Amino acid sequence: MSSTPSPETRTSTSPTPLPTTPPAQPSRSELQALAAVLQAERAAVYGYGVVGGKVGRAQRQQASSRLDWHALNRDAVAAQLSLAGSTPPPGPAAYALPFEVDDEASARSLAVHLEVGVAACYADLVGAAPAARRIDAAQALSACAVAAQRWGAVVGAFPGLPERSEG
Amino acid sequence: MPEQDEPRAPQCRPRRQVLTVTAAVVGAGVVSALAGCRVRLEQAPVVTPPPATPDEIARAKAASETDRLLGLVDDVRRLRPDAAALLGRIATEHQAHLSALRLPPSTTTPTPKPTITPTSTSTPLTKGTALAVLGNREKQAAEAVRAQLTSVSAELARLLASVAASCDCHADALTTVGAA
Repeated sequence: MSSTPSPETRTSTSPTPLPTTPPAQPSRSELQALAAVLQAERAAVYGYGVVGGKVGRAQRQQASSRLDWHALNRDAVAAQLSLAGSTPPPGPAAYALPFEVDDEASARSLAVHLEVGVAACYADLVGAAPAARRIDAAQALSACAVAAQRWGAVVGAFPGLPERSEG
Repeated sequence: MPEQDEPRAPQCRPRRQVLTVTAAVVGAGVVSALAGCRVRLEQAPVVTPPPATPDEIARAKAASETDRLLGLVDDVRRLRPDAAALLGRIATEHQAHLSALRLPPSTTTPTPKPTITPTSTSTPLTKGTALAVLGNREKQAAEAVRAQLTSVSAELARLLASVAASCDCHADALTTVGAA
């Protein structure tokens, strides 16, 4: 998991995934939060495959870097669940996109949609994880928020907390 | 010459007397003041507030950090009116952070002074450096807020993580605008 909110740079140089050696047995709420993160990361990996096919060359690298970042964290979360003795839930073979993605603008909107969704799952993981594992989840939340902003979103004052977002 | 010495003697005695009287009056005043204190203490004993909780300390620290950022945003706005839209949004979001971090007065208890040391501002704030300086401060604030996650409740940890992410977004946006 990235420790600074520069997802493109960090993932291409020194990716630091979620720790795979949890110091203590995760609680039920943490396991649920991890499972939600896993599902969101899988959806993001799938979604970025769509995004990459619709954006121009200038942003294809950004989409590719984000796909790699999400894939790395997907695998790390799955490993963490396995270490905790919890079988990761199987992912679907395909996903229904939230809206039609047929041009660059809608592809950017999809990227924002994906990052915002994953950010919310990491925020929930911060709340569910014990103190020792919160900072990694918080850094992932930041990375997703910054990525959403780079795709054109106005993330607002409380990224990852939909209950505090305006409107 | 004895004529000159004689007049001094009578002057000294009254002065000593005055001092003695003053001391007596002061002494009596202290006694009566202490007596008054004693009465007041007996009537309304001082209640020692409960020690601040880790959540209260963390909220105070984060709010203090946000306050300082808001002050810096104001300074930068004066130097960079061309970035007013971004800086206005950043200020609005920090105000929202402050509102969320400050507890209602009825539930607050005295908290110790935040121990965050002022961040180094070795780079002078000029039109050319203002956005970069603010961006660096936002990054530092994000790290400082995240560092508190290990000592707070789950609910507050979620809020602080979001505030830190917001600061990171500000830093990233300032970098982009500053580089343009």
